[in-house]
Amino acid sequence: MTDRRLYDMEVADLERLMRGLPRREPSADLRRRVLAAGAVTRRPLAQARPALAAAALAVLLALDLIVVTIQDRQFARILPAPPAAMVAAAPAPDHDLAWLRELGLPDESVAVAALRRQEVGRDTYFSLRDSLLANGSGG
Amino acid sequence: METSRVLEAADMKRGERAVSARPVDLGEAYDAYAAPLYRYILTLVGSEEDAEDALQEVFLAVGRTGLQHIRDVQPYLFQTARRQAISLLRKRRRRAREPEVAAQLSWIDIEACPVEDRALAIDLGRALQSLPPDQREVIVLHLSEGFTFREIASLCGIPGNTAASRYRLALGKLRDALKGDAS
Repeated sequence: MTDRRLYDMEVADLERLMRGLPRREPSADLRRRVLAAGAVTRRPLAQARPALAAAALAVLLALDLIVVTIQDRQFARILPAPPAAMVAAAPAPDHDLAWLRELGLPDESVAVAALRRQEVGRDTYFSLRDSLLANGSGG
Repeated sequence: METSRVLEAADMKRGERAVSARPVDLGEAYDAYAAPLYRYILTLVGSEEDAEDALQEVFLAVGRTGLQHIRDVQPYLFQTARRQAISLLRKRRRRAREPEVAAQLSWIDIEACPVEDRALAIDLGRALQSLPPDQREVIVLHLSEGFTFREIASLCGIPGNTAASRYRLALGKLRDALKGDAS
């Protein structure tokens, strides 16, 4: 560009000329570095929230199970053991009572419930348990 | 290259502001916005190394926070880049004892210019770096990245009229500087 052309250049021409000049780009290596560094940054909290909620729910369920199990074991301890002859004569716990075993109760307690299975449904069982726990004495 | 050819090239649609879709991950955000952000930071700080460091910080911030909650991605990224550039310039001023970083680069890729335009491009780059940073900023955003004065005003936290007057003032200085070089 000659001196004369520069001298004659108006502002509008200068604007258009500058827009037309080639522009710099970041190096290709920078993209690789940025993505590599970005990969090790922590995940956004928004993305981690569902996982945190699921973990919290699992913890709560586990705590609840522990509490229930402890209470049931306490119940099993204070429930008077039935006479051995009655336990021997009692029918085997049926399907409806299998859940008592799953709670981790000793066989004696399951047997007691089995002996009374005509009137001992799940609600009655827990009612009886609560009563025993509240009174601190056996049946 | 004749001036008319340069002007024709300027008239072509550059499409650099066609970014509208929200990027879904870091790679997509980088591909969409890294180049304009880089030119913006580079013109402010004048050093390739510093500009790359600042750009990396911008995208690391994106990686940490994500863009899902950002309504307008482009202004957010330019704001972040602006903070990084200002922080760099402040640090540089604090390190007064260290040799001054050669702040001579702008968005213009001198090596990519045709040989016959390189002298002009070098003069332009030098003239740009002689401008105060606030005027340089308006020039790069408007001429290189196609920002409107309203967008520049919003980014820089100044009234729209101020953005426009800074631009006119800067352009006049650039023209005078080029004339000075030529005479």
